[in-house]
Amino acid sequence: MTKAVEKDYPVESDHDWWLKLQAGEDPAWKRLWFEVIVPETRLSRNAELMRKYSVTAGDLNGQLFEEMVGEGKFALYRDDGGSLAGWLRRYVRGYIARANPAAHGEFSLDGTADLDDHGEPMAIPVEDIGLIRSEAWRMTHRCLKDLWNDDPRKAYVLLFKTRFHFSSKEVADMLDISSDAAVDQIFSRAVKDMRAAWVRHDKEG
Amino acid sequence: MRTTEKTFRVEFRSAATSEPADAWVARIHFPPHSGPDDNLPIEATDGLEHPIEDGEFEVMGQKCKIKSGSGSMRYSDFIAGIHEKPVCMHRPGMTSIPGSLTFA
Repeated sequence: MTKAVEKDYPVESDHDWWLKLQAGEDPAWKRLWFEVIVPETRLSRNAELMRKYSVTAGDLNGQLFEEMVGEGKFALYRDDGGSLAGWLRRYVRGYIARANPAAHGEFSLDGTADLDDHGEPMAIPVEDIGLIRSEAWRMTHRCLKDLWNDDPRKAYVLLFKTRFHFSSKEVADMLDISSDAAVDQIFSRAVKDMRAAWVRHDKEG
Repeated sequence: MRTTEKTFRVEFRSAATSEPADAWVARIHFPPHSGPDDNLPIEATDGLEHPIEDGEFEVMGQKCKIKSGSGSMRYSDFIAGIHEKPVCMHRPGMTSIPGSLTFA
């Protein structure tokens, strides 16, 4: 409980956290930032790779958002008592491990993280990760454009919260929105719209 | 209405163009603690990363003059145009190229 007060976010069960992340709730994403992104960026090997390939913690958060929300990968979490933070950290570690822009999906010695949270070797990617990432990036922008065309303010709220990690209060102050709750509501709708756009564009091919 | 203590910027990019020089990137910077009457600096380059010497960047319902790669917009104008959708770079003697917000 002390941690919750210090970090200013609730620490609830993994199941509840998982549901709230999918709903795009701000405190849940804040917890993800502190319990998933920040600890990974503090590991010396990860910090070294991030420096080497100019990857920021914000980039990692953005990639996690794209994959989990945009591609619906939150559904892959088994919710059977396994650590949600540990599961998410594996993804983040994978992003860092594959950050070498010259690797283009080839197996890179530079980008090989040794062990995961449970001391198991990480899976060696067999797909063309570079291609998948660029496709995900392209798709993300297609969906962001849809969001903009619906209402630019929604696109800014999504960008400010997921790319720059501003709190709802900061976003409300910056965009002259009436309250934190109104920002949360706009953000929640934006996440849902992004998810729907992703599914729609994915079907269109 | 005020920006945070952090400096950050939002980036807009043109739609795909056949000639790199026709493409553009524009960034609106948000200096720390900016208030309604403060200016938000804008930098604009073409697809070859050369500063756009002369143009108008249309965004948030404003047409911001760009000279030697730089321009600006009042923060209050940015907010006033928060629902305005057109994003476009206009340059003399060139076709106006639309663009969009990016995650960059």
